[in-house]
Amino acid sequence: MAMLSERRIVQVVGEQVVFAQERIPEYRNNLAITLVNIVRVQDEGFSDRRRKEQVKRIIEELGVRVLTHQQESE
Amino acid sequence: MMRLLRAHVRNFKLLEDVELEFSTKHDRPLTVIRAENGSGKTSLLYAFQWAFHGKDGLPKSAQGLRLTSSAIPFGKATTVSVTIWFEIADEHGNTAQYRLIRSVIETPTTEDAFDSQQERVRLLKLTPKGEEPEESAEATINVWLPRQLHAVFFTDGDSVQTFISGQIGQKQRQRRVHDAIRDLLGIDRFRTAARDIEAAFRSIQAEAAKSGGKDTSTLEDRLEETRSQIDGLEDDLLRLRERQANMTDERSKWDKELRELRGIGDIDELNERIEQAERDQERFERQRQATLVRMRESLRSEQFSWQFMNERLQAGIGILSELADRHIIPGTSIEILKDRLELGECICGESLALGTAHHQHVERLVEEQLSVSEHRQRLTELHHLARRAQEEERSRRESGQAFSPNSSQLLAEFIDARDSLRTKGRELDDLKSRRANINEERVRNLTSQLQDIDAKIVQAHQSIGAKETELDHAYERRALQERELDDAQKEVDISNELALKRDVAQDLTVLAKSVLKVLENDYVQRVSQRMRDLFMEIVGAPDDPLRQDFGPVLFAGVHIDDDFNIIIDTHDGRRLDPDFELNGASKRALTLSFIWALMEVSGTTAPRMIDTPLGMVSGGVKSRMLDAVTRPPIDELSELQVILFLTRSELRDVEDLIDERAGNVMTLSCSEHYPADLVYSWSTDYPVSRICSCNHRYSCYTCARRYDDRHGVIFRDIDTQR
Repeated sequence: MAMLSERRIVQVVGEQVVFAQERIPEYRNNLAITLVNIVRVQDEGFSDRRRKEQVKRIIEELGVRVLTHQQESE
Repeated sequence: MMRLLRAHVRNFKLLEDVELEFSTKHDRPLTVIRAENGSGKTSLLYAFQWAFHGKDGLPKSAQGLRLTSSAIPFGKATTVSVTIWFEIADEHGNTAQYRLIRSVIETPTTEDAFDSQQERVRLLKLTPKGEEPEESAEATINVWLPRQLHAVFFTDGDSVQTFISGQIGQKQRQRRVHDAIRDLLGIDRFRTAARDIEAAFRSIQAEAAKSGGKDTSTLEDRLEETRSQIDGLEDDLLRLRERQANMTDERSKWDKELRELRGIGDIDELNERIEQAERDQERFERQRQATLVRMRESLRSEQFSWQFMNERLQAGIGILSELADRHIIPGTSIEILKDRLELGECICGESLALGTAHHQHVERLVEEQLSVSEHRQRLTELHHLARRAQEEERSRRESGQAFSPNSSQLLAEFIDARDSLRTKGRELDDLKSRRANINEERVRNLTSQLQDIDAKIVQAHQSIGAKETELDHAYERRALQERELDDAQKEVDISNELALKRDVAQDLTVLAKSVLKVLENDYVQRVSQRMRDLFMEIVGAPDDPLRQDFGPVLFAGVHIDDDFNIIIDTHDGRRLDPDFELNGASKRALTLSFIWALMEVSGTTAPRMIDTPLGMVSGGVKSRMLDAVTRPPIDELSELQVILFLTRSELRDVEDLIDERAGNVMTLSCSEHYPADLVYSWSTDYPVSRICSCNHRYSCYTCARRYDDRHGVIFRDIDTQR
């Protein structure tokens, strides 16, 4: 992460993620980490299309994780 | 998080072979390179800028210049190289070391020309197994140390001020501040992330709709079209606003120039005033001459004689009167004696017959009288004249016509005429000089340019207005289409997995937008507050304006406004113009406070290398400034690295603070300074700059300078050259 430090980003994101608290306990943390990862994708120097694909992939992975967690809980 | 470890500069300008080591201690974040003017400080700064970003990283004025020393003979190919060892640390404390090498072969061909081969840049990661080359070195470096933030990382004491003042226009400065905030706070990165997430969300939504058997593609296409229109319109609007801002900057520059020219005066009006002044001058000259003639006449007048010879004249008149009283004048006795001789009888009755002794006596008396009669005659005339003149002077005095009051008036008239003439002469000179300074053609051009640009600004304003209206309509259309699509998609029965992915994407969209808002508002405010605290600390202004121990306090504070302008407030409610109302020291203090605050708030760690930051700064401000920019972070996880190029004058009075904060101090000197400033010759055939390990308190055979004793520098009988 080049500029705003990762620690600071996690802090800012963490402060803003309270709205999602009704979901599974780890969800908020996962959401914050995912957003940080999405921002980091920009450092990889991908093309616009490739970057969007990467972001979608990261989001889908989180979706799958949440689903797995839900199924395990059930 | 980047930290410089060491560097090796080869053949960059006069830096033939210079090695540097940087302090990496948490409690001593400062590295000092002591160097006088002309020792190679700027070259060293350029060497770092070039190493990280190539020629594009150099200031525009230096981009076309050769990198090698002008002492390199024509035709001699020379390799210029800068190697920098640095460390990159992640948030978890994991560090990796790298070696960056940029090199180029340059061959000077003439005084002004040179051949330059393709620059070569390599980035090597230092691992236990050895050095591993990194792909796309330039891009990687640009992520760690963005080129657009040069003004933040590598700068000199004068350039550092251009953030808030200087020759560039206000809009351009505002953009610089704006860009620095956006870059360092990662605002643009979050905006891009938010867009990417939104795109993923739309894509997942479309997939969900398809999987549910509902064809929402028409609605999606329409929405996509609207979104694409919005993107285009936003870009257009941005360009238009940018163009308008540039035109406004340009207009303000031309207007200022024109006002300055017009401040000198309008040419026709000036010509008229010059003619009038010349006429006035002639009139005053005539008055002066006439008064002079009257003064000359006056000095030749009887009144003047009475004024200045009065005592003697009165004495003369007294003598004449006495002569008259004694009947010596007028001389009437000759006629009486002649009458008596003719009558032959004296007044006393005695005979004056011819031949008598009495007759002879009277004849002798006549002869005697004849010998003095001419004088007596003259004296008699004088007596009458003097009496008359005395009478006239008395009458003049009684009627106020005497010389004295008359002369005062004449003198006053003369002085008046002379002074008016001088004043008019000066006025005329000034008017003529102003007329000479007017560049009529430039005034005409500027007037015409201003008319043109005014029309274009109005046009741009109208275009912006039209574009904004169009954009508002597009936003409304988008909102409507999004609702329609949402409604349609809600009816779709989709899998749990797709629903979760869609929800996650939606949550992330909300989160990214929310973070963006916080960065744009709260974090900018934090930068503003921290900048204020640092600035007030450096300039030594207390929060309480009534505190007497500080004397008059001008600054009430500084802040960043909603348009990202840096505003300086005073206690009397004014806003200071950083261009004209801040001294050099305060400008530096403000800019450094801004940069430091921005880096602190963003949590960014990158080396800050500043050439001559303490120039124009002295006393308490100097030590407070140095203290503020070198203070180790309280937070153990935060790091600071500051590299300052300081002259001996800048180091004076802050030696103790340097002792405390500097982990390494070196001295850079140039052979060209011998014998004028350097004490010892280096015996080189060509100019070269060298570094030695002398710190701010010592000197050696390489760096000893005349007058070092004045700076309290102690000579050591060694050569510490590296």
